[in-house]
Amino acid sequence: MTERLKQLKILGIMLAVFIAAYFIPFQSARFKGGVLEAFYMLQDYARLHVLLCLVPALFIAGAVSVFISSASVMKYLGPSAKKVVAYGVASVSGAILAVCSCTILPLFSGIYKRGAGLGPGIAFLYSGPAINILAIVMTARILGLQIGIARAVGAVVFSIVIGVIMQMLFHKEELERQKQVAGFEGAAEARPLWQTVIYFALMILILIFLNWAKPNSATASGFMAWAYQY
Amino acid sequence: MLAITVGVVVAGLAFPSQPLIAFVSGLILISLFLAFEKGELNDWLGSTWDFTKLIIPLLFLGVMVAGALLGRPGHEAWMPSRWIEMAVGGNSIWANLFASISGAFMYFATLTEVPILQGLLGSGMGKGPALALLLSGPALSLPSMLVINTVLGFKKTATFVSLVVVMSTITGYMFGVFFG
Repeated sequence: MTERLKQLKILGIMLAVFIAAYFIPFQSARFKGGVLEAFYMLQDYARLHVLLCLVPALFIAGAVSVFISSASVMKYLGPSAKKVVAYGVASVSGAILAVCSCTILPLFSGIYKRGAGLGPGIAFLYSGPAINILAIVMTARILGLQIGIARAVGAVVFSIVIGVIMQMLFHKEELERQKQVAGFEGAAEARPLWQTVIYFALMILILIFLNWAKPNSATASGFMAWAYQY
Repeated sequence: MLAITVGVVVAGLAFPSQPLIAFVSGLILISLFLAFEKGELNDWLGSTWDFTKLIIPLLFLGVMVAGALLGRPGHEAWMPSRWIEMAVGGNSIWANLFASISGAFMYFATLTEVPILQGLLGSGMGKGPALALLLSGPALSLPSMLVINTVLGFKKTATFVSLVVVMSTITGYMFGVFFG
């Protein structure tokens, strides 16, 4: 049975390719134009955005994920944490923890099952993918500063408002659930705070050195995360 | 550290008209420096590399798909600009609602929302609907809704999704009115 299914799948793929080859208007100017546009756009990105924007942002994202442990952020989202702190941390922690929505989902179900409140949980779930460093920097640079700022501010505000509304709507169910979960153990800090601070100072120093020799106006515009260096 | 600084300064002085040369040599020197370090500094390079592997292929693919379908701003590609203007042009409530609902269901791989929106904006999408799509898009997708559904249950998931859609629509509309 599985063998037959496999053969059917191959047949399906073949049919799809055949139909595409039969009907796609390869001759038309629109088709050719679209193919060229794909490569033009790729070149635009390669020339304008990769070296000065994407690569430095990747280094920052990498540093953040190494030097800030997710456990130390997660402990602020537990049921014992103060509400203001929980919402505040939840709404901005995406900037620190996530680069991809695919990493947010497991983190969310993890904290929710371990007893984080619905409100902070939802705030975290919403803001995570929307405000990560890479996304905001790229949005501001490519789509314009206005939309970039609106996106960052909107994501933080939305996450808190939606979290609070959800908490109010499902208040009773939440009380029931909180009784059932065993508890939320906060992980011990891996290293003292001053050390983290020094690591980040070091990183910023390196980034300053990195930029010392190139006061490039193209980078300066729109690159909010690096604004302090100029 | 000192060697890196010296290297970058030398490269900067040698090619003052080409700042990219200094920049790239700085990147290479730092990567080399990190590669031969131990502990967390080495992990830094490692996790940067992990992000790179995760993001760059998807982003480039997304850029090419966006280019083929929508073209660079000002250039028309496979999808007629007329359709885009009809669906999400201007700043009507409907354009905003359409943008925020399609954003909520569509799956955007990491960062691909940026080139796609660049193409859409170039093809005549309004600024308001663009923000609506940005606010509902990355946070939600059909696959993520299914996962959230297994954790929260249908009622809470549906509430969450509708809150996101409604608020994105309103915010997009307001943004379009004031800044569009």
